Amino acid sequence: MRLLRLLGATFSLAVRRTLTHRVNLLFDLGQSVAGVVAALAATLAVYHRTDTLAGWTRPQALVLIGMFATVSGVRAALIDPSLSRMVGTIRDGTMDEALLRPAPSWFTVSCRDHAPLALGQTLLGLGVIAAGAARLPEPPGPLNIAAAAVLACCAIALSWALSLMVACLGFWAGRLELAPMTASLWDVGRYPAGIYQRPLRTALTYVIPLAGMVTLPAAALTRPGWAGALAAGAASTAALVALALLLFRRGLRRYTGATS
Amino acid sequence: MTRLPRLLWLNVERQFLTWSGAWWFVFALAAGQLVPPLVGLAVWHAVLPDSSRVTSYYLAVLFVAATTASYENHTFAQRIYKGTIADDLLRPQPAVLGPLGENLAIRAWIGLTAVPVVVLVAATTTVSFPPGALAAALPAWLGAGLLRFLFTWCLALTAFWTERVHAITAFATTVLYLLGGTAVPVDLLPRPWAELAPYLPFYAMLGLPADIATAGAGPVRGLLVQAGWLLATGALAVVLWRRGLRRHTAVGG
Repeated sequence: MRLLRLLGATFSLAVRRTLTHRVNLLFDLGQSVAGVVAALAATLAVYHRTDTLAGWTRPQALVLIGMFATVSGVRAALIDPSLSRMVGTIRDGTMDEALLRPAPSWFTVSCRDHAPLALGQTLLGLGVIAAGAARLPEPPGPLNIAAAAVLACCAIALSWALSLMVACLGFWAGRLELAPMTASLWDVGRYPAGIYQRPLRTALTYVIPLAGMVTLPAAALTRPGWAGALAAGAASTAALVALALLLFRRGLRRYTGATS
Repeated sequence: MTRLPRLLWLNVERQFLTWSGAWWFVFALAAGQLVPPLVGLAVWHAVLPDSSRVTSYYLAVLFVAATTASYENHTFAQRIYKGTIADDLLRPQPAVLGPLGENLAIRAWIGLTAVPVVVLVAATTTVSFPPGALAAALPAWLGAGLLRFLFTWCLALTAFWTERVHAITAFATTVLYLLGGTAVPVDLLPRPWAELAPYLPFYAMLGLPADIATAGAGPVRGLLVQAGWLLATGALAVVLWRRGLRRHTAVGG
């Protein structure tokens, strides 16, 4: 509960900082809208030529795009702003500032900064999910919605864990800044995991679960047989979060601050 | 060698060596250029599994995207924001030479990084390029490289007026992804976009060389449109540079 309150406080500070610059606010909102519109347009262009893509119909794909935008928005608003800069703070020693705060260090390192306007993408994504779900031949029931919500939370937690693990590499190699690469790879989740050929699909589902992260919650909302996905999603999230925290603790032992 | 090409070469050489120390970042930039065409290839291969033209097209787009990448919104716009552009203005050479040299050096590194990916895709898929089509695509590829630089340079110059160059460039990148031939090959777009897109600058920056290489488009009309956009963006760059420079003030030395 205390961590949630702290998250709320840092987020509120970020909101006030963002609202100070009104013109910039318009640009950032426009960027969020453009991202969702582009994803939608690209998907609809594909469905202009086919009825199904890797077994996904147009309404199901709309739900998938909506889920992608929803998770991407949370990631861009809450995860990326802090973790994409973490390696820089390890290198120049300014991580001290986060470590000295009276809260768990993994939390203070992950919540240094936020980009609240990116949540506009999440709101639009939820709208796209609703539009897609309304066009499904069988609307999702409460259990489907609950399973999708849990799996979406797992996707956000997985995304945080992957970003933290990538940032932690900076403890061993200070120049190794791979955050922009993670951001590029994130795009592979925009389409159903089934479009990728077998070895790549396996890697993107089980090794670096970028494709499955969004496909699983969207599938829970649009297809039957989500119980297995729910168990697998929750188990892999728990494992990856534990691994990320372990890596962070190990890495932190190597950190030596440069500030005073 | 005349003075300007020699200065440009020296800039490219210096920046190539500078960027050799940031190999991790080059990988990240290369991923940013290569992932969208690879995803496009996976999508359209799933839609049209028997079409070798789609595979060949996306292989060509991979190459074009990697070798025409431009990041003046990061490199040059930051110099405007920090005021360090003052150093460039005091040098006895056109200010564009530095960014152009850095652009070519980054492209060389990203191109080198992309080689294994292009080879892997070519080896694992069915690709075919008609004889002579690759040579016919060469002028369009050179034009695409220049156009993408001028286009990004114009966007970077908006740093004289706004703090949100990245948002503007992100928007342009989104349109380039949609209408340039990465998300969807232009001839597969729904109407009226399929008819409109070949006349927009985005197609001339990415899809045109790939379409010519796979003999999907006759080179003459595309090259004329590309030349028109080169003239337009070149003129716009000159106007933006002159007007922007009048607004520029820097402190320090």
